[in-house]
Amino acid sequence: MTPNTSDQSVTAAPPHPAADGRIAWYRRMLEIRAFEDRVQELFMDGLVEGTTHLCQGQEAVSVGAINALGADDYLTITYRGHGQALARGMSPEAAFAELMGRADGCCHGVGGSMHLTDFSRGLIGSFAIIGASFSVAVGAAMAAKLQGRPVVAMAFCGDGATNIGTFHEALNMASLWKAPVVFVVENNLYGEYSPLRSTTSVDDLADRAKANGMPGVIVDGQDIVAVHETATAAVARARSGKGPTLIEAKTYRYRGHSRTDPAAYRPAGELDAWKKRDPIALLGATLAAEQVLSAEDQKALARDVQKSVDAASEKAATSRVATMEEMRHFVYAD
Amino acid sequence: MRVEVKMPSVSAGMESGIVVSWLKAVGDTVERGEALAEIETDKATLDLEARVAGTLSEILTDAGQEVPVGTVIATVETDE
Repeated sequence: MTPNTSDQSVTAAPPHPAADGRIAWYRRMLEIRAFEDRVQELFMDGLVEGTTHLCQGQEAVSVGAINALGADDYLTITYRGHGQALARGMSPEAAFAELMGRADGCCHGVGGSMHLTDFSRGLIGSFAIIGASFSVAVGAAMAAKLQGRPVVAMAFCGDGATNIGTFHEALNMASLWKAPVVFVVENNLYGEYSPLRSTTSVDDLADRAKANGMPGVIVDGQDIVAVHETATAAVARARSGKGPTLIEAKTYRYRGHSRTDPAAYRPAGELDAWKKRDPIALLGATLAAEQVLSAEDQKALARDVQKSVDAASEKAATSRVATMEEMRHFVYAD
Repeated sequence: MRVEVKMPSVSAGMESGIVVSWLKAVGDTVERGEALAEIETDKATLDLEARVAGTLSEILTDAGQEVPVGTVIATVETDE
């Protein structure tokens, strides 16, 4: 499959976000890209145990959608969640430390790569169980609704998760009860090592919204402005009591499923075709064309971001490993 | 600056890896993230990527050789 350049994005001619806002998005996407590149190296150095799932190429979905949320809103994410946690404002240092099992990590080192969580930011869970992010978000949204709090929950999942039972159960329940939820499916074309169409009965995952009586919207996941507009409309709809929306963001992961996967199952040329629509480069081209941020300023910004990400990983590596007592404390209730 | 390229630790408990083939020759320029060699481990065969941009200055492990994790298998001379 080739990148989707067609007319799939839903909302038309929106007011552009303030230029400053787009620069912050640009910076955040650079930060996520640099973070993920560094994580790959940390794994290769044996500084991180277990496995990891990187999101290079998908940055615009995380940053565009999550920036549509308010500070009190909830967010649930997946095991490919580093970008989403950073988009929600988690510091690279807290995330690096978590990946390395250190006491300064966001979960004091007991969570790891697949469980970046920060309740202070409404990031109430990062789930390795496929589909769990959707059901937990519905529960959190319903709790808020019953308490009369005007809070929205945004849930991320991947394309493969839309074949899981909890995905359909969550959509049905959220629609029935008009739960204030925004479901975001990152369709990166592969569920682990399988092309989507070999495991899935529909081409457009947004079609699955119809079965549950909610809007299903397809958006170009490489276009951060389009993602943000679509998510903003869905968040507003949820907050006004009209119920959930299913957003399908068509995107692509540059790397394999996990760190040891060279993704040799992909057809020749597919990766290169998608890289021509790199989400960071696309926004960069717009910012340069509109004379908001010149190509030179973009390079300088990228260098700054790289330095700060490098410093964060070095600092995180100096954090100590949690003691057994601390681990017990953070895992078991007294 | 000369930067060492080491046999990576791709999975927990990995002790050694095989350099299947070199994808760059001595004197070739390399970009950060570009594949230098193909590495085989007990789990997978994957690309070993350059961490810095520069010129591949030395190849220290021939294709087909198995070496312990951490062995310096090549060096890259950076432009800085």
